Amino acid sequence: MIRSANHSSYPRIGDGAWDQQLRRVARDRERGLASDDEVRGVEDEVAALVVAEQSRAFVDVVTDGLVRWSGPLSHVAAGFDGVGLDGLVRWFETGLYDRRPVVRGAISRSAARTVRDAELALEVKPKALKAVLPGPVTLARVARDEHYGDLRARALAFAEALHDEARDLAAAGVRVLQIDEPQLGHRPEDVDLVAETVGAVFSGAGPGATTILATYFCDLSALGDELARLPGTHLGLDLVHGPGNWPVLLRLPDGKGVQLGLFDARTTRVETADEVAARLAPYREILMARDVLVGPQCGLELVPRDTAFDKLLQARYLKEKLVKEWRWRS
Amino acid sequence: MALLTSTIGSLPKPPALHEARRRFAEGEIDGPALREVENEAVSRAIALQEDLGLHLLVDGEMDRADPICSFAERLGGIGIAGWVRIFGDRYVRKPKIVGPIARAGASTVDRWRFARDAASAAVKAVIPGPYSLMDGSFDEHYGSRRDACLAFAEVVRAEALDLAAAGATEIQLDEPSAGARLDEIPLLIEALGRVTEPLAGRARTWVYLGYADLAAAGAELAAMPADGLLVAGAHCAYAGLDAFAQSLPSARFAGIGVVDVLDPRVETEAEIAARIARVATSIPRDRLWVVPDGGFRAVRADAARGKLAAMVAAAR
Repeated sequence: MIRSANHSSYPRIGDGAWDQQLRRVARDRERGLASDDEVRGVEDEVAALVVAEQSRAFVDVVTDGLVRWSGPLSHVAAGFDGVGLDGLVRWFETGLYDRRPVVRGAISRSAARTVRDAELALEVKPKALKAVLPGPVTLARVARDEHYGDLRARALAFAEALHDEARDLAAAGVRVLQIDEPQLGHRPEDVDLVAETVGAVFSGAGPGATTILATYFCDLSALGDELARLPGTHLGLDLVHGPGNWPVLLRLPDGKGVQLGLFDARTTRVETADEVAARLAPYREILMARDVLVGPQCGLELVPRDTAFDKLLQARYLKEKLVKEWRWRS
Repeated sequence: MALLTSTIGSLPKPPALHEARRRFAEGEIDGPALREVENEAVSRAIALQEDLGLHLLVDGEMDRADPICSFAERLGGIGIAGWVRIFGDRYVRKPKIVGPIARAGASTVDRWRFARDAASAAVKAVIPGPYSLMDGSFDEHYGSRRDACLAFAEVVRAEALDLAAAGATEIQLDEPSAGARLDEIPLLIEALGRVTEPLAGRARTWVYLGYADLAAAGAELAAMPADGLLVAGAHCAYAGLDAFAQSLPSARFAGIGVVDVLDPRVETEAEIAARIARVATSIPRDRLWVVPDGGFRAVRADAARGKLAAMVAAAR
């Protein structure tokens, strides 16, 4: 089966004055003119709009755009007990900054962090909603540690808290869960730790769930037989900034689904469905034997909203083209 | 010994300027009317810094929404792509390169002259650096980060030389993208060198490294070709500062951030004094400048004043 899918984030503001309500209310809050509740209300409106916008592009699997997230790591991490936030850290090689998590005590989760967001997104009735969480090893690698003093202990503690979040997301009706581990390609030596901890998180998603281990900004060419140990029904591969991932497609374990990051989420040039389909053609046989998701290689908040929409639209056209020309079931 | 003080670039825009910008955008006032309000804001920014006793002043960037896009959009070959988030609730309009980058003429010299004439102390001219212009733009033309970066270096060099010809003796190049890619640090150095080398003997050059990760690349970043380097540090308790300081050439000044501009709270003089004491364990006091971590664009005016006042008092 082939489906089109957003990766994770989606631009929270657009270029028109009407699309800038979140920026305006945040600025008003800084000036003491808007309350946290008012900001939350606008975030809810924008998140619903973002789900609807992706659905309007006829994307099969959408997200809530991570509209309420302060950053790729800080939003979820800061919701855990024992975790605070430190100074700024660049999100890999992008122009996006986040607060660095700092582990000050034992990590635990006393309240859900993203479940309400998912419930509200489901009310918009998308075809399928994907929930996204940061990976335990990426969190453990980036965080400053004042408590555990050991990467594995830190990652296991994050995984336990993330497992509880995954369990509650599943209870709320989420059937597609993605865990982001962009660190893996940069540190292939972490593969066993990723397998252990992400597997623990996925166990919370419940039977029958689609579970995607998403890697990006890198390739997994350094992994050999370890590929088979990576957990999840699907492996997310960045084929834009990880060209070494094309040969990895040939080595995927039998039955493993794949989320193909084919559209560059860091440029304004919009690739056409035709040119992307041409790149996929040599892999037709191995891809059609799998469950495949096609879309951008990472979160779309790195490009303007119009561009993000156009890239999702091309992902949808790509899926439709392959369904028609390859006689692929959708 | 009192330490020398400066600030990074932007200061809070007054409500009257926000209103004038809105009216200009909606066609209610023309360019000269907007310029009049901007000039008044620049004069107030200069007066604020002189009241507080800063040694090296800035114009406060009253005519710029953000430093990268405002500079880039005045160049040939550049379009505006749209709004993109950079951190939390902060967004910038990001340029896109759609053709060969070219410069029609100086775009910052008149603004700097106005600020200089309004001040009794030296005013630093602040322009974006070539690497951050490249990294902060979408490229639909060159297809090569190196080619785009060096094309920006040509126009930044021309702007810097015009500033020097107009009398600017302190020129700051903003490179907040420094360290974004460790493998591109040689490119960053090469591009900056093309700007700073022709200024030798004519102006003192500063490079602002933004929130660069000194823990990852402190030694490499200390090699930037400029007379002084400025970098944030208060936000992260100076992680990596020692490696940066040890590699800093002996003739180079360092301005280290001692005010966290992302913290809406106004730090006390004692807090900032403690940060200065920490920084002074790494950087000799005769080469140390005291600055905030970054610009005050998103800080409330009263908080910005309070933070700068505490910084100047602590530096004394």
